[in-house]
Amino acid sequence: MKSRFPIVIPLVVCLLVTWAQYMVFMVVPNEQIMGAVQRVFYFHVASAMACYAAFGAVLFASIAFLATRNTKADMLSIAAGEVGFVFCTITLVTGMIWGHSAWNTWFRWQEPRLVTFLVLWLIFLSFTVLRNFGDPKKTAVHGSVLGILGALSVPIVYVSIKFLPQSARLHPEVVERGGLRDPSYWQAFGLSVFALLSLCALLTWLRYRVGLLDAQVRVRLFENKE
Amino acid sequence: MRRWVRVLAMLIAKELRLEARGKELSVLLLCTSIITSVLVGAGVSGAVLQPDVVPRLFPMLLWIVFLLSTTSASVRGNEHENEGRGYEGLLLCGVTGAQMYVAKVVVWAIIFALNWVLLCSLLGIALDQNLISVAGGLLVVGLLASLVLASLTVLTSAIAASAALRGAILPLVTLPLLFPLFFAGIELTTAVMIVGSVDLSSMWVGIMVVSFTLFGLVGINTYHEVISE
Amino acid sequence: MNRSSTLVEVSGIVKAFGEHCALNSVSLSVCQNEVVLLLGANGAGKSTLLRIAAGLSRADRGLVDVCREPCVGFCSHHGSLYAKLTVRENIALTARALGVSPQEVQDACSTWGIDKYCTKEVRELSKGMYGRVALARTFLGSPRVVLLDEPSSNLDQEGVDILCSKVSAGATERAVVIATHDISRLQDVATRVVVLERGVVVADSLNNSDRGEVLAQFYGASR
Repeated sequence: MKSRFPIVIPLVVCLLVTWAQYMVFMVVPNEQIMGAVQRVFYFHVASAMACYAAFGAVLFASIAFLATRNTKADMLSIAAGEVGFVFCTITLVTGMIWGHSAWNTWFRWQEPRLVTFLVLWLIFLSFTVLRNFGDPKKTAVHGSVLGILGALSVPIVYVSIKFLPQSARLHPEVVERGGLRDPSYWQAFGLSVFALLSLCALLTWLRYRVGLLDAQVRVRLFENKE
Repeated sequence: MRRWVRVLAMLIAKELRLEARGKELSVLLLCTSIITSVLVGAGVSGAVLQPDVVPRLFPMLLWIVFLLSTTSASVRGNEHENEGRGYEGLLLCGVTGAQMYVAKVVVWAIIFALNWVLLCSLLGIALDQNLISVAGGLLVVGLLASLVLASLTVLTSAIAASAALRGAILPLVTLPLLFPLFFAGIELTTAVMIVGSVDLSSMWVGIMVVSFTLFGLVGINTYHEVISE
Repeated sequence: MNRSSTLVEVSGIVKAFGEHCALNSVSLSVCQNEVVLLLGANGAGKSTLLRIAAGLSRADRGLVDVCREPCVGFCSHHGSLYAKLTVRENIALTARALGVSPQEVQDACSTWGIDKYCTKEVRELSKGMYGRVALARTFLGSPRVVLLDEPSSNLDQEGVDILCSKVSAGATERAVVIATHDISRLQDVATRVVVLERGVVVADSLNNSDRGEVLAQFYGASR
């Protein structure tokens, strides 16, 4: 298959990510209380948004596959699931780094967003394991059903943890409360979000293309063997 | 509608008969529950906790044992379907996946509720907790939880049934989706142990109802796709 | 032959399992009054085609139009039976789902010679008896379309005779497709022969008009 994918897009995304890194590490001043550790915030929030977007894509692709049985929708679901898993891991790890610095503990079970992301990570993990070790004849349907179940369960997980009586909402709500007063903070934040969302979309697209090519190569190899 | 209900009743009777004959789910639940209760009892006594700490730990321990035993045991719940592919014969006669799913949820919920009663008694003895005065409240919580659990495990065990690694895949797929039930269960059990009854207007009951509705809707609409090729 | 009332119509069926293409654009239409022998080597796609026609498997592409009134009689080599239920319970399950009378159930049991085993769990039966129970279940409710996947593989001669008489008795009312390797015992009951090879229909006595020639061609190919 001739590639219809312009090479300029990955270059632009790389440039965006590099520019975001430059802004975060070289331009933005140190935060007063947290110091240098606060810089993890830009990747943390942006990865979380990318993860949500990927999960949305999994939900959309899963419903589309069950409705149409189009294998391309299944490929998209696999791609978004794998890429979402990576971004979910980044969110969890950067969140733990922040937590260790700010709250002096790696993980707080009373914190709704942290636990929600842990559950989300587990759902992505089970999704990936099922895709690789499930019944090959049925993984597409089973993965789609799990994708729908997982995506619909996440809001209930979030609500349930939020209402736990001992739940202490330590998670900073920087953006909601109008934080980031310095204009460079806003620029770095906006750029990080845009860069990581683009990276997420690019990786999903590449993984989707690899999936399609993989299927074609397998068919060719099989035909040649016969 | 009458035919739908008649077929459903027939499927429920079939599930009960198969379970009564094979006893796969109930024996596995019984054994896992006894073993884990003994382990929990021995572990807690070995930890030499203050006597007032044990009642506070009790709901959490009860729920961990309940969720783990039911999830791991439900691996065997679909074996009789795959032995001779009996479900295909039913699908060919116009029985729908939704009817099969609902019948299984009803039967599994009954078995899980019995397991809950057994576990409450076993752990009550192992951890020296007097639960007779709160038995009614615990039963209501157990019935609600069994419905939620059954509505999810019927679907996830069918997903895991044909996988080579089904023993590992089933808990991995099921447990993350059960977090809301886990939290709601612990909170309701704690409240029952303090007050003695269940507040049905509580938000935790609401979370169980929403989870049951969600899993039930997905199950009814996708079970046919999950079991067929 | 009157080909006006088509009961099974599949066209352009494509089905792949991973990289293996099991069926590659298969078309087949079977009318009332036809008994089709579906021949082919192992892995030719016979079972897959029957499962798709029965509605138990979904084709990747193509159209499937099969008369499902009152049901589709499909007998796979699994038997579609619950191993831990008795013969009577298994048959009653199908009968109740279809609304078939108890008398018809009784008749089916005596026709297939399984009434002695009614209270036995089917897992305790011999393979031959298991096959008879599966076939008795398949013919319950007088389906207009009957699809049989290697029905005679475990049957003794008496069982095959019952099968042949059952197929020919209702032939005018129904369409029957039998996937088999047991040509010698079943060719007398067939009105048409279709040969599948690597997921493609390579011969059909309907087009060729000479059943013997198609069979000879198949024997030649499989030798």
